[in-house]
Amino acid sequence: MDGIDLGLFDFDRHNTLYFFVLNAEEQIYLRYGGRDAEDPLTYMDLDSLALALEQGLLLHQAYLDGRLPRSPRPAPFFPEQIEDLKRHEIDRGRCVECHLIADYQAQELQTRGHFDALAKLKTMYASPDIKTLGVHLDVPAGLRVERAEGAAARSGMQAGDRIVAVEGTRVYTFGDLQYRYDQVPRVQPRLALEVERAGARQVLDVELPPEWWRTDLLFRNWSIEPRLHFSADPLDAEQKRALELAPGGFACRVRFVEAVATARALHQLVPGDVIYAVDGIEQSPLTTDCEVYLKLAHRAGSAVRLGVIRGAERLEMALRSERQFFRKQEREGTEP
Amino acid sequence: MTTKLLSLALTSCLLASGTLGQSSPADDSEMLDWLSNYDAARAQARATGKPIFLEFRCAP
Repeated sequence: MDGIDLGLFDFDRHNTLYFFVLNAEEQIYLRYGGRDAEDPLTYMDLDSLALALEQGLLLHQAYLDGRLPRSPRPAPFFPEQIEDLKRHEIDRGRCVECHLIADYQAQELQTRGHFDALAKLKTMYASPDIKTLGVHLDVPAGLRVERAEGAAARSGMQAGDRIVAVEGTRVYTFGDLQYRYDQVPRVQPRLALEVERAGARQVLDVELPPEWWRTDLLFRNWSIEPRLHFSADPLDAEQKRALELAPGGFACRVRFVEAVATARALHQLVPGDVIYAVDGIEQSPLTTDCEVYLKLAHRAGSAVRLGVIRGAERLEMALRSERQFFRKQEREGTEP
Repeated sequence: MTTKLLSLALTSCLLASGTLGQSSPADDSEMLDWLSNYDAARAQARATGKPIFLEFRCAP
């Protein structure tokens, strides 16, 4: 990826495969790619690729005929502009893999510049899954809806609809759709999806569910800062009520603790502990999950005080987080 | 659709950014002619009036 204009070829770097169709003047017609947390190929197959290539040809012909509006070229941005990536990988002559770009950019958010929880929410939960809205695509048929449930169904989406635009931006492939969907501010309550049905188009007003952006982060784990060395599950309303916790709070129950937490004296959580407060804060407008809150609101290496329920006792406990350590990164000057 | 797809494959510039340095398969009689240099692909696209199909592949 060294030498590649990341501003032009902007995509979720945790995709295994990603394609662009563009012309010599670097006007991108469409993208083909995108994924969900389960499988990098969920939304890719040869039939939908064929449709995408056909569409790319049609758009190219429109461009040659002067019928395609010129889209502004994004500002250039190159891998060597990511300081740590340049220092640890490029200057050492190492291969710049796609995911390393995301990994080092996430690290830079921790170590340099203004720390913004809302901005981090967007980068941490990149490429939200449209299935959260209840949109299930007939993948070989591109953007044709196989079935609509939940928020999508309530907005009027039906099986057989073809999605043609997201928030007013024309989309031709799932890659286009997920890329535009990813640009939606995470606090936005509604989404405009335009569909084509029986030859006519209509814009559906989709009410976005709470935490609509949330996905399993395991496949992009190396990009997620800080490391907490535990996993937890949010409590439901009844569980919070039983523990006399705020219904809108981010209380969660620890499911798993990594041995390194004890070995490095980072915290003393054990499975079954309920975390209900972080530095005295018990709820956040961004999330109802304490693990997510910790990652959004605190830099790697920071020390916090947790409010913990263990059995019948309420405790206060210290936690120190750590930075990610990439397999190719050497430790000099990179300790948290 | 098959004819259109074949046409795209034969007449478009193809660029595989993530596969730099990799050799072509032994039997490439039916394979596409991938380029590995973006600037060269742009020049060829400009000269021929054809679009570019560009691949990024994660190759750890």
